[in-house]
Amino acid sequence: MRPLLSGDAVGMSAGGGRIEIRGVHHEYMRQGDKVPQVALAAVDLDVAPGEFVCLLGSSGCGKSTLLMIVAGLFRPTSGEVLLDGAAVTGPSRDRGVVFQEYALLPWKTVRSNIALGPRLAGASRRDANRIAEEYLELVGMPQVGDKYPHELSGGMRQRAAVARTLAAKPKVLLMDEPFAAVDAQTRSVLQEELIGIWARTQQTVVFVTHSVEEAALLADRVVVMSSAPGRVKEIFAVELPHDERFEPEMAPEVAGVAAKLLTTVRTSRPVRNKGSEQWSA
Amino acid sequence: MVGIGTAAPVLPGPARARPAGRVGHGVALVGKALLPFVVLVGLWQASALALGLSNYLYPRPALVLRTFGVLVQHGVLLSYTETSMWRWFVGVAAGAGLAVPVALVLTFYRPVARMMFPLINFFTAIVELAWIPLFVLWFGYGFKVIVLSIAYVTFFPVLANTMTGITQIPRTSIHAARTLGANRWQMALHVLLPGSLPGTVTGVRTGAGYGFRSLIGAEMIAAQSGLGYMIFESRANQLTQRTIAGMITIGVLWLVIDRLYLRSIEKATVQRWGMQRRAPR
Repeated sequence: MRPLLSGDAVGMSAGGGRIEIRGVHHEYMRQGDKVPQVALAAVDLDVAPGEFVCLLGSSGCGKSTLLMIVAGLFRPTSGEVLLDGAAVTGPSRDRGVVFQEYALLPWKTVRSNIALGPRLAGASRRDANRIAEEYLELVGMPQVGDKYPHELSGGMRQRAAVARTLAAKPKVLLMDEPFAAVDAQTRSVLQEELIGIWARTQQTVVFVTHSVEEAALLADRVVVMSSAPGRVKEIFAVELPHDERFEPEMAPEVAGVAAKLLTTVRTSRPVRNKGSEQWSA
Repeated sequence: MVGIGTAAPVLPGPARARPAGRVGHGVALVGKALLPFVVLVGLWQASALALGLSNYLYPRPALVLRTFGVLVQHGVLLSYTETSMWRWFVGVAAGAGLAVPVALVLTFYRPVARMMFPLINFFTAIVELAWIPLFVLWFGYGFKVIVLSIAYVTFFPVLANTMTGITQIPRTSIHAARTLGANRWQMALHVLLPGSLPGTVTGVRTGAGYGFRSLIGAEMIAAQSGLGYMIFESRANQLTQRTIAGMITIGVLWLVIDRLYLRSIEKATVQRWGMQRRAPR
């Protein structure tokens, strides 16, 4: 177990954070189905320590399923996930998750929500609250610790959720369309803040999104997934330096990357049954 | 002068008007709630005059009121009320205090739960009055029997509603706690117990109501003190007015308990956390 309170609580992660996804195959049964649905077929992917990877694809391509498997919340039908060489067998605070729906506990204040990770790891209430304050500071809202989640706006809730995940000091950060539910302006602020935090903590990030613009803004590498069954279609390295991507002058370059991604995402849609379309026309 | 003259109607006007309006609103509400009671007493008085029965068969409001005076003066009413309330409180606390941990255990051990449900259903169906002869046989008359029958009827609704409350906790709350490193008992403490509180509160309100009725029933059979005893024994002593005074006391007590205590639990927790479920009032 890594010490929680060593030196600067908010800072670089303890290192490590290599993710290896090996032949992950995932099937599930829907109610009334006789044949299982294949959500993921033979997915292989390596994520280097400190890398920011986006999983990009249209809905139903299994990108969130893959993230949940890395988190250990879903168990793959076959294949395995390794974190720094050790097989993932279930959820753990090595792999912090930021969920789309915030997932803050409504019965805890924002401070207690953020303090939960350290508390569960055995920190005293006082120490945990102190850590929580530091992370509230990090996400730029030091004054809301006493509020309950329902008293915050969507963007503030998601900041608190990011702070809670970071406060548990995970080796990797798994984000499941975290900014999909907030308005466009808040989203762009949160994206820039996330990159700022990532530059400081140098954590491995796997970020699920369906937005090509978001992937172009954030990722070192973009993994484009195709659906039915979900698999890795193509992997793009985004060459633009991170600190330049949020500059207005660079908007055309970022848009160019997004356009290229969009072309790939479009051609990765499942082929529709042409016959039935002609029949109904 | 001009400044004050123009500012005054704009600012302090509404601020001063609001508290007065709220008090007026409250008075109106209480008045509305009292009206049906006043009508009922009126009908009672009118019917007593019309029927012209003896006070033994059909006591009049004035006699019952005088009886209240006597009972209060001699301390009988207070003493019986205290006795009954203590029995009720201990019974409800015991029933609910047992039901919540049982709900957790049944949640953690699903196969056990499936095995136990028919048995739980079986006992839910057996009215506590049916147990009283057995309880008396085992424990004699008095406190134990009454508390036991109150605990018995409180247990089932608290168990059922707590379990329902647990199943209604958002999956993401549970997932979030697991990825932050919660073990089973930390999950119970930080997520399941507070998260199921809307259900538990509903269960306790229902159970407390059942328990309150059970209290009177059990006291009629198995006690030499308390409001149930007073209601039952007074009839045998041809003091029907005391029976009615006891009945009115029970009803008023419940109104007070429900408004002052049970609803304030809900306000302090569920409403404050913004997770309130509109229960029928």
